[in-house]
Parts: sequence; structure tokens; C-alpha cells
Amino acid sequence: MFWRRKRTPADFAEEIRAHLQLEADEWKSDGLADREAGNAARRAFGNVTAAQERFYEKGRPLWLDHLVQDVRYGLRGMRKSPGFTLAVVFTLALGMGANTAIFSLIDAVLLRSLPVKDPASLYFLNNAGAREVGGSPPYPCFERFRSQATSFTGIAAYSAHDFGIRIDGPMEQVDGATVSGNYFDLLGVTPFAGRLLAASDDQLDPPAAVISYGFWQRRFAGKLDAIGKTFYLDNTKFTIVGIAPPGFNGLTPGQHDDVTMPFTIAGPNLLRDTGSWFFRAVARLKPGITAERARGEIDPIFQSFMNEFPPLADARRDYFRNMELTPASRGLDELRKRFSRPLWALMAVVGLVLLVGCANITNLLLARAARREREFAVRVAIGAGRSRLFRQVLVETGLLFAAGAAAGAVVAWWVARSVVGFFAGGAHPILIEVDWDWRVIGFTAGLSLLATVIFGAAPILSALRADPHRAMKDGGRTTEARGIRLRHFLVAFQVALSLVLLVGAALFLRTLQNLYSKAAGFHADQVALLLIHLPDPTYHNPAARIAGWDRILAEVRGLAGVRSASLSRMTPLDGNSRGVGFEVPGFQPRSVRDIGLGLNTVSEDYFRTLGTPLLQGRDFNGSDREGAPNVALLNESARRHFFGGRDPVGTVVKLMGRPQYRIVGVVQDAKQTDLREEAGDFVYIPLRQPIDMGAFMTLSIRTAGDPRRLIGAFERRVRGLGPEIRVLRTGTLARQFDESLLRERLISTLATGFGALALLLSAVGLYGVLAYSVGRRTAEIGIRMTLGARPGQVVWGVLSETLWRVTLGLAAGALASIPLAKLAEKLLYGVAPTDAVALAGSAALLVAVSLLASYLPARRAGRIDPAAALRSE
Amino acid sequence: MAAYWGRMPTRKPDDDRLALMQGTLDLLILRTLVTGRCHGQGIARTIGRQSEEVFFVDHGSLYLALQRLEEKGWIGAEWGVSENNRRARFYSLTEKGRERLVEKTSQWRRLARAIGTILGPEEQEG
Repeated sequence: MFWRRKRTPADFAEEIRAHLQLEADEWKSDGLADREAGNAARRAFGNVTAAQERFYEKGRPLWLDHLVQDVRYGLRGMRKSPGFTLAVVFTLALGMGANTAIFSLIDAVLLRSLPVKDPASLYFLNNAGAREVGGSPPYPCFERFRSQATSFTGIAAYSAHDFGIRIDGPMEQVDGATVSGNYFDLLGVTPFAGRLLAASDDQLDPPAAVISYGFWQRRFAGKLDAIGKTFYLDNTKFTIVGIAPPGFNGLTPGQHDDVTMPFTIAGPNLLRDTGSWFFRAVARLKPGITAERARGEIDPIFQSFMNEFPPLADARRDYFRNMELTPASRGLDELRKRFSRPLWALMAVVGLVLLVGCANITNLLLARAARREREFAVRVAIGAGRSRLFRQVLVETGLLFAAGAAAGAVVAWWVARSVVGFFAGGAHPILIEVDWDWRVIGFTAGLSLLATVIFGAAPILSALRADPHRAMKDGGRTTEARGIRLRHFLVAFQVALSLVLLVGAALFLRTLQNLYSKAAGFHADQVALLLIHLPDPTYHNPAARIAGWDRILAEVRGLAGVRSASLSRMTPLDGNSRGVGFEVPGFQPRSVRDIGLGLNTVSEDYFRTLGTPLLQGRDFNGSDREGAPNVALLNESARRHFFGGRDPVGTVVKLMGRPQYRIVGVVQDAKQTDLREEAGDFVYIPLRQPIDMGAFMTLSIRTAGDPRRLIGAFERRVRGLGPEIRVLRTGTLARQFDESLLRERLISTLATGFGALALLLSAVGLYGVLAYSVGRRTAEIGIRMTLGARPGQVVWGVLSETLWRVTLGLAAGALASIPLAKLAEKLLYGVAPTDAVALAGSAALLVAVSLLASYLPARRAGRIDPAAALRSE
Repeated sequence: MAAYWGRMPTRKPDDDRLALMQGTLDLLILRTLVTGRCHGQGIARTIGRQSEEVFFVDHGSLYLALQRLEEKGWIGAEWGVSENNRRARFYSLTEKGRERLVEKTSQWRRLARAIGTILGPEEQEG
């Protein structure tokens, strides 16, 4: 066993000492004197040191000694050429760091399983149709699953919301979930402290709640007396009974369920409703049962439920056709759906950047190998085995790449932190825990190893070719034509990759630009937003609440710098949506779109404040209130869809089958949910004639100057207006607009940054190769100049050599960029993957930078003094 | 295996003693240990004496062989005290070593006989 040593060298040395003594004893008994006896014993033994050495070499694997030696030699080499080492390590740190960072995000967002027991056997029970896989069926159907299905060890209900709760004073906004009592038990989560919810908590007697570990740390400073504390949600008093374990934050990736409460707080009406699709059912398969078999069991239950309470035929086809089981091991998939494409695209981008960087490193290694050719040749000549030499270069290269990977970890940490911050900023933070688990570490180590093997191979092979005869004959000035050829190829390779990256960056930038400039139907600049809550019980009475809103509007409109102000339930791109049933007399519904549309409750001046033009009729005014006839506005899409060529003004429509509203005007479409999609059909009703009393409204204020400077003053004024007026969030419409483009901004920012990095690396690579080749050819150029070549000719000679290689790279890059851009087509908007402007612009930029990078060495070639060049030989 | 046969002791300068053939040292060590445990120096002396000083045992090689046998598990070793009160590492034959000794002995006998047959009857010995 070569890795285990049975005896220590010290033990062996002692045995030899004992031997020499025993031997000497015998010589003494033969009559020799002490000293002579000792000498005789040593002579009889032979070479003591040699014996010990042999013992050492026998017990210790030779390769280990050699490895240590190689590592030492390699480290010395790194110290001796700090410039080279720094360049390699720096390039690798950027490349490896970017890769590790993006991979750690992929790991956190796309790959990691929930910290629950046996996540692989957890499934969501989703209704699905031709258009999409949705949530779960209404609660009565869920109860049938629970009582009739035998494939599961349990089924739990889950629904995530944000809540305004009152712990010990003012109301605070928290993210949370409502869950059926068996939720924690089903997931196999054990409490950090106290207890978790149980089936008996469904009775709400008394209402109990569990808080997350993070919330406990943040809100209760990690004090255990948090258990037993109470809080109010509306008028219900909840007692905190326990703390969930650290790391468990519910089933919604990107969001932390800080407070988890029993599902039954939804109220008996909602739980009885056979048409409310509002939560998720999560189930654990019994051992040995396949998802397909379980699906076969619950689908008939679902079908009989749907036959009992049938929706419109097209709705059933599109959304409620059948049941599906979706793996729940990684939680709900909204975040993954949204970010899987961008993250993989970024992974490809950073992979290419690493390739560009590694090409530079190969260049540097090759240049160094050329310089060291003589050293290797000498070592071969004096008997170094080629395998030994090979190992040594491998270790040296491996050391460089390992150092680069280590430095890359620092870069990765920083990049990952910035991106996580990017996700967590804004009104709707996405919380991601980047955790360097075994997958991330393995990825980085594997990448480093792979890069070593691929990009270290050429220099290693060139070391192996070390030919003592040639190297000695040439006095160390070998031609190494092969190396130069490879290095020029690498330049073309870098140019090609850089072009791909630049085209990608250009396409993403144009996408972002298109989304910003595309008519959204409103003007986002100079609008401040304040989300205001008039909570129960102070504002329970509808008259009191409307009086509160009136007071706020009147006060704000009187402030300096305010051009107009309005209140609305939703603002464009705030992530909210609300649909209502809609009936137009004489209009025959045939599809889902025919029976409902989006609803927003707004005050007068809402459209003026947001810059959405009124196309027809009149805006709401202060007298559209209780007692006056109900009025409504349509957007252009709804007018077209429900009225075709007819004039809608004056028609009385029904909302949610009940109250009647008279259409008084039409406004232009404004994007509400997604800039990439059509606005959709919308109806607007006045703040003072609501269908239901909203406690939350967003105050939009169009300002004369920068809204950000005024928000603080607005907030103070609004708070001062009455008891319990809560301002939950402040911001600007422009910011909200930006946040809705988080994905696009993330990808275009990073793609541009990495594209620029690749461009820089290519330029450095080009410069390096040319500078090196001019340096080596000084004598040749000197001779040519002596023979009459003019400096201009020499400069052009060097430049033209570059140009055709750059051209070659551009051609290859253009060819490669088209299929790659097609892969990313779904991320683009308003620009084709083959966009000529992006391609031409990127190519022009690359040519310009390449020329600049090659001009410097070319100019130096032109300035070579023939006499000096020849003398230096 | 290292073939290092060392210098010869000076007591018999130009002696015609035979260097041990590789492999035979192992056999002789095992044979020596049949009578009981012994330390390295004792083994060297015993082999020399028993071969009527024909064989010369290089001590360095002896220890190499001892290590080899110990690793193979044919002999065991422990520290002990010699007759003249010196601390020494004592080797003893293991069960496995005993089996090997029987096997090797018969192998060696066959080999010796075969070589003897080829070389013909004994004629010269000086």
C-alpha cells in the first residue's frame, strides 16, 4: 500500500543503531578495543545512509516526492515571473469568477431542492389545458382528492400572500403563506423551536401561526420569548407557536414565507366556492406509486367535479382540461420559468468569455514555453525523462489554473453578491440565497481542471518536443513556426468568440431599448408613487374611507411642484392584475375573453397623471360618487372587442353580474402586466363608486421636477392627514417600469459587461501575439529595412497580417452567432436574431479595436533601427 | 529490487565468499528464524556462521529483505531486549512465513539438484 507507511524512518534508524551496537559488542568480545569495534561494526554494515535512503524511498511513494518537488519548482517559477503570473491569474480570475458566479445563481434558482424530507416524492396537483399548466382546483375538489385518492401519504393546501399584521404597534407588511394543518408534517419539516402547525390548527381555536427563522432573527432579534407573542391580522389575534428551521422558507422560490397561518382563515365562503382557483395543492406520493398512476387516480375525480360545475367550453379546453402532477422538489416554478432562459444564456456568455481569456493564457504559456525551450532541451540532454518533464509542466500549469480558480472565487463572490442585490432591490424583491454547495465547488474545480487540460495542452506538448540537438545548435533561438501558427489561430478564435458575444450584447441592448421606447400607453417620467393603506377598523365604514381618500387627494393637489395627482387600485406594471365578469347588452359571449376583462378602480385625473390620452367621452370627476349614476371608462382594446364599430358611450354594462355602469368614455390602451404583451381589455370605474371597498390605493403624483426629491415630503404630508394612514411603499413610475424589465436589464447589463471584457481580452491577446512576433523578428525586419523596405511598408506588412486573421475570425464568428442568437430568440423583443445592424456594428467595433491593438506593435516594427537591430544579434 | 551488495568487511580482505543470489537471502532468513525469534544482527551472524562463512551478508541488504518479508507478512517484528541487555528489534516467523519456508525449501532443493545434474559430478573445489 503505497499511501501508508508502516514504520517511521526514526524507528528504522534506531534499529540500525541497535544493530551497530550489537555488532560492536561481538567484536569487543573477540578482543577489539571500543573504537575499533565500533568502526568494524560500521564497516560490516556497509553504507548506513544508503540503507536509510532505501528504506525511505521504499516506504514513501516516489511520485509524491516528485510532486512536492514539482510544486516547489512551479511556485518558484511563478515568483520569478510575476508579470506573467499576474496576467494569467487575473485573466483566469475574471473568467472563472464569472462562471462560478453565474453557476452559483443557476444552482440557487434552478437546481437546488427544497430543504425538506425526500423532496423527490413531492408533487403539485395542477389543472392544465391547451394554454397552460395552472394552479390547483377549487377547495371542494381538493377535499374530494383528499378523501378519495389513495396514491398519496397526504395532500396539503398552500397559498402565498403578503399580509399587513400588527405585532406591537403599527401595522407592518410581511410575506407569508396560508397552509392546511398537515403542511409541515407532509413536508417533513421539524421546528427550530416551539411547534409547527398541526391539523387541529385548522379549527382556528385559538388561531396559531409559525414564523420563519429569518423573520425571527430580524423581527424578534432571535429571542426565544417570541414564541407565545401575539399579532393581529385584521381583527383576528394569532399566537406565534413556533419557529420554522433555518433555510426553510416555504414553497415559493425567491420569496420567504415569514409568517405561516392556517388555510382556514380564507373563510368558509371561499372554501365552499366551486369556482375559485386560488391555491396550490402539494402531495407526497406513497412509496412505489408513480406520478402517472397517481394522476390516473385523481383525474377522474377532477373530471366529475368539472362536469358538476362546468365552465365555458373554451376555458375548460385551455385551462381546466385535466390534472397533471408537477414535481415539487424545487418548489413552485414561477421563478425558474422566468429566469431559466436568461441564466442559461448568461452561462453561455461567461463560458465564451472564459474561452477568450483562456486563449490569451495559451498564448502566454506558448510564449513562455518558447523561451524555456532551451531549459527543457538541457534537461532532456542531461537525462530527465520526458514523462517527468511532462508532469512538471502539467503541475506548473495546474498551479496557475488553481491560483486563477482561487482568485476567481473572490470575483465570483462579488459578482454573485451584486446580482443577488440586483434581484433583491425594488418593490418586489426576489430573495435568492447563493450557497456554495458541493455542486458549485465541483463545477469550479471541474472547470479549472478542464481548462488546464485543454488550454495547457499546447504548451505542454511543445515542452515534450524539446529537442536537445536543435535547441543547442540554434543557441536557444529556435524558429518554433508551429507555435506561432497556433497563436495566430488563437487570435482568429478570440475574434470569432468576441464577435458572438458582442452580437449577443447588441441584440439584448436593442431588446431593452425596444421595450423602453415601445408605446406603453403612459409616460413613466416624473411620476411619484405611494402605496397607501387605510386599515380597519378606523376606516371600516365606506364613507369614512372615501372621505380619507378625498382628504389625501385634496391635500396633495395643493402642494408645490404637483402637476396632478390621482388614486388607483393598480398602476401600470406594478405586478397586480384583477379580472371581473363583464356583460354588454346584445353581445353574445363565445369565449373566455367575451365574459370578462381587467378592472381598475381609479380617481379622476388618473389618466392625465399617467399621460394616457382620453380618446372619446369624458374622464371621471369629483361628482362621480355614491348617489350619482355609476359610470365607467373602457380602454381601446375593450371597445374594439365588445363594440366593434359601434360607439360605446352611453351603453350600460354589468360588472360581476350585479351593478350597472354607464360607459362615459374611452381611453388609450396602457400596458398593465407585461410590456411584451398587448394591454388587454380593461374597464375603469371611479374610486367613489367601487364594487368593493379597497383599503389599498396607490397615489400617483405627476411632479414638475424630479419626483424622487419630493417623495419624502409627500409621504410626511400623507401620514399627517389622519390616524392610521399607512404609507407602505414609495417609488417612482420610472423605477416600477425598470423593475418590470429586471430580467431584460440583468441580461443586457451582464451581456454588455462580459462582451466588453471579451473585447478587451481579445485586444490584449492580439497585441501580445503581435508584439511578441515583432520582437522575435527584429533582426529580419532590420535586414529588410537595410535592403530598402520603407517603414510604411513594414507597418503595413504587420497590419495586413493581422487583418486577414481578424477577417477570418469575423467570418467564423458571424456564422456561429446566427444559430446561437436563434437559441436566445425568446429573450429578444422587436429585433431579429439575424439583425444586420447588431452584426455590422459589432464587427465594426471589433475591427476598430483590433486595428488599434495591432497598430502599436506595427508602429514599433516601423521604427526599428536597422543598424541597431543587426548589432544586437 | 536494488542489487546493492556493499563493501566487504576488512577481516578477510580478498575473500572468495559468495554474494548471495537474489531470493536466497529471503530463504535463509526464514530458515534462521525457524529456531526462534532473533534480531537483525543475530540473523546476519547466524547466516554467516551456518554457511561456514561461505556467504557474506551485506547488512544493508539484510534490512531491505527484512522489511520486504515483514510487509509480505511472512515475519513479524517487535522491540525487545537482547541477551546482553541491548534494545533490539526482534523478528519471528509467522504462520504464513512457515508455510512459505516449506514451499521455498523444496523449490530450492529441486533447483539445486537440477543445477548439480547439469554441472556434473563434483570435481574441483578450492
